[in-house]
Amino acid sequence: MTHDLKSCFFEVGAGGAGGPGPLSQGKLSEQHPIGWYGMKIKITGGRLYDPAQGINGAEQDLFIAGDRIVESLPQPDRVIEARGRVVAPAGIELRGQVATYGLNFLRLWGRFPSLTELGRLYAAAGYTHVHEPLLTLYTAGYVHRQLAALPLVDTSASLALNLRDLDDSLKSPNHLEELGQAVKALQEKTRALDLRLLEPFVRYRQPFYSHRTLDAAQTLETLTRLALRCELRFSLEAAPEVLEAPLPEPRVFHLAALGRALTNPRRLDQALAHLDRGGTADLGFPCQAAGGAAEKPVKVDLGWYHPLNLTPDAGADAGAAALRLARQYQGPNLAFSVDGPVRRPEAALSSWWARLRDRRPGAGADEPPDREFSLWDWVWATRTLPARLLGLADRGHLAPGARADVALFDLPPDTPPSRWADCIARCRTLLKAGTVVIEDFALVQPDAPKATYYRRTGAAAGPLLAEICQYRSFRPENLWVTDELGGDWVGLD
Amino acid sequence: MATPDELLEFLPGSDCGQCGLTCAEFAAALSRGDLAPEDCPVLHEPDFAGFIDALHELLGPPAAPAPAMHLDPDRCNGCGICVAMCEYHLGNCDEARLGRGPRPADRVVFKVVNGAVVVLRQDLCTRLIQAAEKCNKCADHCPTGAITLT
Amino acid sequence: MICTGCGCLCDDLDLTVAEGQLLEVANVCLWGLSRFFPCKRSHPRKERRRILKPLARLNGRPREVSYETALEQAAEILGAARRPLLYGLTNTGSRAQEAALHLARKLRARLEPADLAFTAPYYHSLRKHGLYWAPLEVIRDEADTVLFWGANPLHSCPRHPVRYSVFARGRFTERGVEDRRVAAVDLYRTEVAKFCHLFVQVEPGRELQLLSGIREHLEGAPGPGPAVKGTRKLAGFLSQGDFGVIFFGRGATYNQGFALLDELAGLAARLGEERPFVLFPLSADFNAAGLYQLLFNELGSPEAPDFGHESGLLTTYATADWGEFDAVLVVGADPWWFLPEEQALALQARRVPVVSLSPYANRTTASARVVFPTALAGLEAAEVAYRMDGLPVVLKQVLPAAWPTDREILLDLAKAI
Repeated sequence: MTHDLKSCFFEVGAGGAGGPGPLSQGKLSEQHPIGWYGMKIKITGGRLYDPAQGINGAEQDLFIAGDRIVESLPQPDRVIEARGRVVAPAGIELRGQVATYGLNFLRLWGRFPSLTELGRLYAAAGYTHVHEPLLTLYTAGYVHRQLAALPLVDTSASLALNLRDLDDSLKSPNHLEELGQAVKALQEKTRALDLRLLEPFVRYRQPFYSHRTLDAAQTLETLTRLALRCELRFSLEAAPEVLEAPLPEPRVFHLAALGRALTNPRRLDQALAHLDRGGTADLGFPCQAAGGAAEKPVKVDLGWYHPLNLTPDAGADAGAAALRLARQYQGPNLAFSVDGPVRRPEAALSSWWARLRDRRPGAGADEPPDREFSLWDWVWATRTLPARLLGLADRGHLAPGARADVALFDLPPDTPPSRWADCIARCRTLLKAGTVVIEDFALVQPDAPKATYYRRTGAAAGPLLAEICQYRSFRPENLWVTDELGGDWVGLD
Repeated sequence: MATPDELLEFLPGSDCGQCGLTCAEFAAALSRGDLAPEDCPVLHEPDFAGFIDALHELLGPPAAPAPAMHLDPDRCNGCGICVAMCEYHLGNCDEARLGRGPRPADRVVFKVVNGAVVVLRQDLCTRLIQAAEKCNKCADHCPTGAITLT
Repeated sequence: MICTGCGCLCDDLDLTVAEGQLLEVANVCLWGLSRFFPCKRSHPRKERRRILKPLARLNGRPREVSYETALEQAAEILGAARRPLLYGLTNTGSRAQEAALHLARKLRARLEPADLAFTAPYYHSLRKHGLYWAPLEVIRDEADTVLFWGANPLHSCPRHPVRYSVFARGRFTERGVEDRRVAAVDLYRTEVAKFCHLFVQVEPGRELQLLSGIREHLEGAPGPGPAVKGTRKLAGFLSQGDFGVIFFGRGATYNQGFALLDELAGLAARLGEERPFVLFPLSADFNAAGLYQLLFNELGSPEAPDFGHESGLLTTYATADWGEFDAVLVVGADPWWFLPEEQALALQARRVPVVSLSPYANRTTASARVVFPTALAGLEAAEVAYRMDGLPVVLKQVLPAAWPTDREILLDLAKAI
């Protein structure tokens, strides 16, 4: 359906009641008359934070032409006053569980926002990209439909492999090339941006198959060889046993949602060692539940050894452990992320950052921080590094040529610590691809175009792929994600 | 019984070689009874709808009297349980074995067409090939009792 | 090709089409056949009449009119209504459902899924007991204990046993039915009994007693007094196995639906303490799952939304009282088929105008004031539909369409009002 601009504005003027609904996702060209899209904007007087360029709070103007940041502009169409404000790249949620299969059941208890609300909350918090961590071979279509219905923010997803489907190939060292091709083909056909492992081992619930078990050490060793040979990289959802196993080549693995795996000091040391050896990780702060009556358990069985628990008991420990790791680690390889279904995107990370930053004794943690957590670190951990980890080259920084995804926050230098979390939780102005989406804390462009990013691997389907799919009730051709199931699509090479 | 030339009229005539033969060789094999019309993959394409039936008509009834399998179309609801349970399909048709419908080119004893099961190649039925007259799997599992084997 | 006969959405149909005419459909069951050929469900020789032109009543008699005239009249009826009802939607594609939700918002109407009476008790019970869920892919791979409660899959979704639940040979159920134990509970002995290891025929009204008896047996404390026949056997059946699933059908929700589902969900949760155990609604309409996904996504609740409520939006599990409404729009359903006669007569007496979108003539179109013929989703119209386990598939258009799609008509209506 084409959505004419007039009606868009009318809805906003009327308070945006009811929301744009599912019909609003038109294509860029259908929604925006020429001229709108080619706007020239100058953001003037703001304090810029862009770790990628080494800019740490310097007062500097920022120029935008069309959807890109440019060196300078002689005559901007519009000037956005940012004096006293923080100007940073827009946020990139590295691990936002928003479209996982089964997540809809959480809405039964009424404490989980609808997709429309969720997209708006993300935008209000200054985000323009959300990465869903859990897409599987047969839930790919579902996840992409959900992601497409999340308004305002760009989306992407990780293909979570079930190694049980690959156990024979993992055991035979001569078939690594074929295995690599099959994995790459799976990634492209499910339109995933990267690869993820929830269970880096092969274990069967059926005793009959116990002879095919592979422990974590064996599995990770083979996956390392596979990754090095076929140029793959895996996000490894951290669990205590992942940190127990040796990771022969840290650059091959990104450790995701570390918090819950740091159950004792030794594992904390192992995580630090991984980071010090050049590996990357994200922290996985527990998502804070909104309180109220306890939810009932919601578990979804996706054929892994353990069912997926959508109401995990995060506990205070995981958060405290993640805080401890963040304080002790001095290098650049640690990103911020949340663990568990995201209910309140605006509050999920900002409160943890405020706790990290607060150096007053007794504030936030049991030990004083080893280093100061500045806005620079915040921008690095929630923008620059996530963009690099997802391979979004023109995102997460403000250099000329980057896409103009910019967030402005009201955070004067003299803000008291008690207000930090609130100030960073809501952005005053958000630009997405050069379009002003949020202005003065209000949503002004509820129909801003969005896209889903995936990786084009170019791998051909081989016999191994057919073998992996053989037990599915779908004919293989109907398993794959077609254009109609999501979008708009952007394939990265 | 039709001659190979008459049979050739109802073959694609493109000598595409997908069956490993030319169309004339295929026609000869048909008349000898070595191959069946279904073995030509091209005839399964929509452009040749009805050709397989025409060839069967030309060929007449198969030489060996097959064990009678009586299907009652009024009872059959097309659930496909027989297709999945068939002993021949178990070893020879992955799609049917795994509970999916056979593909057009698959060699199958029977499959569901227009909501009821129809016999395509009774000669493939295990009961005919081996001392397997004990195989009653299709009839045993049919919930509506639409299959009778004698 | 994907079959839109039922919630199975079988994706393995092969169509033979010549010169724009459908000749043959392979692998389709008798139930699904009626989506491809103009015949009645399960009665291939009983013809159904396709509606060819939009109809509008003039002096009480339906007359063929142009699309624009029908649109004008329908918009007038719905626009003038104080309390409109948008009914059905479980047998139409997701894109049409999105348009319907948009229209319901605009009309400030009540939107009622056709199978609300079936799903409401289920969702209601989940709130109390939580859930363990698995897609049919995992069920076919792993389930070794299958119970059908008040469901006859051979009637509501004939290929379900073969593709997913009983005969399918999955990853760890490679011998198919030999790797599974199957049981059924129903009021009457049905064809399912043929492949069930245990069939319990329960007297009407005694289902709750049967369920509580099973619970007591599982706890090792059977109550005094005579138990319902089959209690002990069923308890034994359910307590074994490594992965269980209860498929319940409409039979479970005819009477005491909320209480029965509450017990069933409690039983599944209890059994789930020891092994994976799934409670699964066997929905017969082909895109019921899609409608509830949409309601979850958009409104955050599977309850029926009422945009006309004074609070702005009220959602409820209670089925609508037809006496409340002064105009009805029916899409993808035939409510006049099961509406009690007195209610139908009452609607007629109150002259409640009905607008119906349907490819075929049915009882609802016969009583409707305006009728729009529509293209068949998945044959004449491209659409998206959700299988009963919530996995979406793309329906393609294979035949040219002489009629607009449900979505197009709904959007035109929204524009015209």
